[in-house]
Amino acid sequence: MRSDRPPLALALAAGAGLLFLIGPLLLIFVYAFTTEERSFVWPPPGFTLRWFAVTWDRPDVWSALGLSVKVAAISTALALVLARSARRRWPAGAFPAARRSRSW
Amino acid sequence: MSLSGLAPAPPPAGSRFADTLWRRPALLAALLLALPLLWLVVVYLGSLAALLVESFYSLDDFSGVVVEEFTLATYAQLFTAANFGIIQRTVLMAAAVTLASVVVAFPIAYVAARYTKGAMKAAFYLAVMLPLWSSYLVKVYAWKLILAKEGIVTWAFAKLHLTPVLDAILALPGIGGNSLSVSYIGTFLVFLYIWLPYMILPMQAALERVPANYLDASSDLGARPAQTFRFVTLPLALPGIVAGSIFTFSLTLGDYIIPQIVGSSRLFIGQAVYVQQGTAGNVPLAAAFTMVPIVIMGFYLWGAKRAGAFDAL
Repeated sequence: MRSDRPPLALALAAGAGLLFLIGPLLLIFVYAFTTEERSFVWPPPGFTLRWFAVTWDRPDVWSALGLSVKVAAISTALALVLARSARRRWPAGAFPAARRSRSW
Repeated sequence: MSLSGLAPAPPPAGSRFADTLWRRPALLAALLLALPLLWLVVVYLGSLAALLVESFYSLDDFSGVVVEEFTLATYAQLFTAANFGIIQRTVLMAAAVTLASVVVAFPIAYVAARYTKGAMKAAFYLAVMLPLWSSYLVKVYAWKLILAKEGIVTWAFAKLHLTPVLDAILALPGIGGNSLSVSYIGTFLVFLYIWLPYMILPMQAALERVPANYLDASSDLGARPAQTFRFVTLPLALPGIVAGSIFTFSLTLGDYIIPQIVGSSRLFIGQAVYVQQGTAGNVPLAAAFTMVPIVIMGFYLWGAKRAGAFDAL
């Protein structure tokens, strides 16, 4: 019974699910180019690259981006250290109680 | 020191500390685990304990000062009509979101696990992970654009000449509203969207581990596809489904941003916590509210374990 292609109903359901996941993301891209300033009009009345220039020129955006990158780097480094020592190849006998049962 | 303690050859002479560690692996384990454990116990469990203690205090209504004496009065407040309504609404929403995400996630996870490989599988992973890489707030606001009165959903329904259908949905008592972006349906859709990847990923991980020859054996022994699904695939995938439902359920219970941006003005638990500890300054009640999802999740995990959801781990 096993084949390489999913049954049509299953493929449709999966495709609809993926569309649900990706659609709103595409929408964010589209709205980055819209000429409409205030309301949420669809379809967008026109396309412009203005918002990218506006964002580029704002120093607060750049400082926020810098801070985010800094915090992300530090927390990643800390998590790496903590998780690395917790999850490693332990020598036999490191956990005497773990021999009996594997699951919790 | 730890490296020499791990090496298969005897440690170099002169390093007595390494010798000790080599002979006593449990000591090595304790030393290396000390830091992460300290973090977990002090920072994580410590703050939880502080929360628990705080929830047994109460707020003096006249002075607005927290009275640091043991009382159950704060918990009793949870059962007043308004507060209990908040809890009920949140739990119902979390249950609905969890059920719906199982239904929506399963075909994606199943197709990704069973029918894709190589580049196609990578594309599936990418499609599921992509929403996780963009900002939570941006996604929620994008949904506000979709659901708003002059937004895409209204537009699409109008183009398809189905506006009466949308109006009928919005006229539903309780869950309807002026537009989707101020109704419970909208809140539900956004919750479903935001937490869906957390359901797909563990589900797919569980389905990947179902050996394909079990399915062959099942059909060789005369099971119809539906029976194979019911008695082979589903039980083996259950740990993944439960793991995903823990994410969707608990994340919905605690969230306070989505219902604030998309939905009616009625509060969810997370918003109640936010309001109580912020403007109201009632930290004990906020703490008591916070205990509700923790207790619910405790029972949920206990029930899942009793149902055998973790047996296949």
